[in-house]
Amino acid sequence: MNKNEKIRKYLEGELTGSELKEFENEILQSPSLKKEIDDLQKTINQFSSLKNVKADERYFNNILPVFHSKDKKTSSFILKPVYTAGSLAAVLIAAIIFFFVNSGNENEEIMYQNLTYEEINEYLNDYSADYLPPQFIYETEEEYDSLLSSMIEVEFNSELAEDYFSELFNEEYYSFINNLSDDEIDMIYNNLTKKDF
Amino acid sequence: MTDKDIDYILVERFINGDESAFNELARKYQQRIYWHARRMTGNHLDADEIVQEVLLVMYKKLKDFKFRSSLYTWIYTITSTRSINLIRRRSVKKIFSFEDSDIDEADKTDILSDFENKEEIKLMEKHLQKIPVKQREVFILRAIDGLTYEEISEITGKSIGGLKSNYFHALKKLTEMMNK
Repeated sequence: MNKNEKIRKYLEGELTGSELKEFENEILQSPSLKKEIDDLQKTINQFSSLKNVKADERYFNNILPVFHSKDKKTSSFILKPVYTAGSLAAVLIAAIIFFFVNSGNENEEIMYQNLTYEEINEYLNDYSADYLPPQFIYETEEEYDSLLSSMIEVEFNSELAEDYFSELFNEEYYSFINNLSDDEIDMIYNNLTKKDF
Repeated sequence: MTDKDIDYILVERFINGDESAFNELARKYQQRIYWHARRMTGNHLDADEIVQEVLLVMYKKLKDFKFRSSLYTWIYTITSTRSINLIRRRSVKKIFSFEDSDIDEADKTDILSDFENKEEIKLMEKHLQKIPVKQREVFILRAIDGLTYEEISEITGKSIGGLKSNYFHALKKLTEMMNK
């Protein structure tokens, strides 16, 4: 059992008997291990306190009236299939160009190229922020959660992209983007994150 | 009578046309839905949108619910899925339209009444947004909602071993951020 697994088991009360005694001795003999465990436990306590957060009850009292006031029929934006397919293709092409044309950092490019398909997939599936440089993680807005956004952000050369997209991003385009349904967004997202695209 | 029995009766009543049974179920679970969505997305506006979406799904799909799992794990699954979809949707829209974030707007309409700890709560919510979404999901369900790994596995469809590993990675990252 590695150290992290032992710490996790200890924190979750999964260590028993001799394993527990042995680990408690280790903690006693190592101030750094003790500090690490104390810090982790403190984080657990802090975050578990979120379950007691108080909020305005009027909001909760109003959820059902709002729900019933809405039409329960789903309204979705419907495009003619031929336009939908064409527009989605345009979005995908734009994304591919984003990835492969606007690459401004050679080091980053080498790092991505060194990853195997499995690794890239794993990162994409996990929205792996930990792949990025720490300063990047902490300085970006909350929305930059996925590796997909992050890779584009890292590789994004704003001047080139603005030139390229100045013609593409017209009002019609924005209107199309804003009216994409969940399924269409999912399709774009899944295509962007497919290993063989 | 167990919680599951009560849910079963309410669902049966709703299927037989009693709308008030749906209202009871909605009132029972609306806070759990809201807080889970809020912690996943990090703000009130998105959580509010998800609450309405989840209620709509419940309204339309409850008749197909077979009680193979608990109702609350089913509701958590819908809430998680909707939250992740919304995060993806925001992410894709942001990439292609270079939208500014609506964080300020979300702040103005927030419903937190815990004024003493508001800053600390906001900081923790912000930190949660910085960890990968799947780690975030497990951490929220485990550390905040207090669910067991078996329940989380039912909700996410992931193996318990993988969930434990995700939870610990999330915990380490959050500890690092909290100590900065």
